[in-house]
Amino acid sequence: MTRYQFTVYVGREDARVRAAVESFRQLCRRRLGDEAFEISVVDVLANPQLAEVERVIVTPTVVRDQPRPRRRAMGDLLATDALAAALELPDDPPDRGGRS
Amino acid sequence: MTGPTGADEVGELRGQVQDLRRQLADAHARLNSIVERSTDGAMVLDALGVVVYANPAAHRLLGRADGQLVGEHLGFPVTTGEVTEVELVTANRERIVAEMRVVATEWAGRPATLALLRDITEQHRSQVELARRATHDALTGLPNRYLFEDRLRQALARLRREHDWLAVVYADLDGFKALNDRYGHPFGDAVLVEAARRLLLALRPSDTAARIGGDEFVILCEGLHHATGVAESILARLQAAFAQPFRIRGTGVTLGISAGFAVTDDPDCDPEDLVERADAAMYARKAAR
Repeated sequence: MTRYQFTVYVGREDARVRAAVESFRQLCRRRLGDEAFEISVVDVLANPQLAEVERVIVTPTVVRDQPRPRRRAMGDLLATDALAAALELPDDPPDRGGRS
Repeated sequence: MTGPTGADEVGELRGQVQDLRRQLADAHARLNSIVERSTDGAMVLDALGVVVYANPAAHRLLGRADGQLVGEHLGFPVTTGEVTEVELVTANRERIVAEMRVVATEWAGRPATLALLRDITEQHRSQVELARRATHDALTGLPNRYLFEDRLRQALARLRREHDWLAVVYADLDGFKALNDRYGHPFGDAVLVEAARRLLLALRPSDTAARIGGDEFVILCEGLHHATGVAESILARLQAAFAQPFRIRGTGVTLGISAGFAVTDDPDCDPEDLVERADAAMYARKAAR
């Protein structure tokens, strides 16, 4: 089963950022299924070198690290449909309806 | 074979081509003067979110030299509605708050996105400052009554998810009014600032202290686990913090602190009622002295 890995690059973590990350997490649950993904959150202020290496210019930015090829989206993480399209997430979890 | 008619035709065509070239150059120059001189950053991103064009303002905003942005993988821009607020990380690691406006467009015949960026860092800072002033006491910098009540409500809501005890401590400064009368209000203000400082030192990082009256303070203490034990120790720490005399503008004054508390583990407890109980507890301790 394909395992999705995402990194969310954020500025200072505050309530708004946490809500945005949670919204993205829910989107992944809906589209990928509970077990099929991992999300790392990177604070670009606390990790400026990492942000530079990854060339993160806008926050928040979401990078799909796996599966390749990488995809990247930035802006409003609450824009779930546009975000799902940009990150090329399936419409439904691949396993849905499989087991009986 | 070119006869006199052929030469005329070629000449005419040549003239038309030159006209068209001039018109094209004019149109180009006009558009350029708008986009190149715009104070808003304008970037065109391809279908993957890679920069294919960025105007000088965009380069300035991001602290980059001209031409450095093309090829950068910014990411596909997503918004709900027309605008969203984002933060930009500049070349020298500055943080800029920007309003990003996104418009679907075409570039070289392919779908692309125009991202317009406006620096709103100053407005953002002002908004943050205004919000801070609305929720904090100007003199001491402590949360005010509104923020305290908000925090108390949230704390009570948390009790719904996980059982625990919380306490509200009510405290006021003994002899403050007399001190104010004797030494004047600026002196009294300095005393309050120092009192707030001592209060904070006596508390745990998770506690919220607020100034809700002239010399009246309330404190929210969560995570008590064992009801009164922790609250009593907080009261003891407050007494200890105020045992030392205050030295204000060369004058030494002694100020006591009176405090009482009320505890609850009930998420449906009325916040105002809890504060009143703490107030009553403080008076009861005063009366018992």
